[in-house]
Amino acid sequence: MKIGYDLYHIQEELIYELLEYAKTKKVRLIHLRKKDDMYQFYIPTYQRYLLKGLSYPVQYLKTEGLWKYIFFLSKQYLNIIGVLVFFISVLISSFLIFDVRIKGTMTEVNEDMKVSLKNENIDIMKPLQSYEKLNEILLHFKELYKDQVEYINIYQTGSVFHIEYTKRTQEEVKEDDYRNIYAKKDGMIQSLDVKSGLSVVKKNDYVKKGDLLVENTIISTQNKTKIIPVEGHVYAYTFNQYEASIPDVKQDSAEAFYELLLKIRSQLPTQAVIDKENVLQMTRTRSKITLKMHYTLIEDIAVKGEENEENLET
Amino acid sequence: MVVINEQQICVHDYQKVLMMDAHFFKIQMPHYILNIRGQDIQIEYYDQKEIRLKGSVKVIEYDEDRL
Repeated sequence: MKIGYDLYHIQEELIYELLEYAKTKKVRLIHLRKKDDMYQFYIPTYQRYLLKGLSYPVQYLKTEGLWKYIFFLSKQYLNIIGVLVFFISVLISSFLIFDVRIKGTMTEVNEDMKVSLKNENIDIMKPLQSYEKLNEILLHFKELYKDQVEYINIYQTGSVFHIEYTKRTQEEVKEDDYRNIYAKKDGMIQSLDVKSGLSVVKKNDYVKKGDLLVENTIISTQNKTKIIPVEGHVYAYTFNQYEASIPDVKQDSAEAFYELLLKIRSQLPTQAVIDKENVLQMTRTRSKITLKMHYTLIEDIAVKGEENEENLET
Repeated sequence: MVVINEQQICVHDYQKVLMMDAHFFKIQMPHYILNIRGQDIQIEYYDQKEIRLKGSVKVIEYDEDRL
């Protein structure tokens, strides 16, 4: 056990007795050297009791190695108790739950799950569960919350018990719409995003308000007409003029322009993207300041229905 | 048995150390006496069956069983 050695010394004239005793009692002597009129030597700490049988005086000097610290610790009883308590608590705590974490967006489901876990004896400072038990709880929760939860997972990492779930989303039942798509305003086609239906226009075509863009009729190779649902978006460049006015209170021209510009921009359709923005005119009369702007917008001009229906822009 | 290398001398199956100091060791072996002469010779390791000596060894003698 090479974890500690005791250092001794003995008088010079007793060295032969020591050597004979060591050979008889199988004591190991290490680094036996003469120092002044004494011989110093090391023996393994676990053999110190053997040396006590030597009938000649031999003086203990010190201990070296790990045993030195163990003996030092043993003289301080409170430290030993503290160390023991620490090791015992680490050992015990590796078998207990320290925290229960439920990761999900529905607070009422979270609270309900906590109560269910307590009923299953899963709580802080309760024992960690086996894999079989975790599977059992998972199946139980899947059944219990099948209407509210889409996905659920239960696992343990270290001393923490985890539950993760995602909310079940209601799928919208979409009904097929067989109505054609028409242009709700004039424009030049920029792009088409048609999921279903037959496009009758292409990129860079000029269309007027009310023109048919996507139709619901297709003719098969056997000359049979079939009606299909129509769904999609048609984006076009539209050309618009906007105007705004504010009272003339002798404000700075730049400030007035900026205020008018913001006012005009608030009039633009929310889904439209500005492609070009040009100032046409800014006039100041006696009582007001007026700004006129020309916009080239990219917007979705697709609308379902016929020209005579109210959903087309006037 | 005596094993010699550059750093140390190992003496196996000795019976007794008869004399020792920094320049001379006399060890009783089963059928002969071993004399080792040199400078700063020290016992590096000693147990029931083996002695290891370290130091500047100059002469090793095998002597018949006599003091």
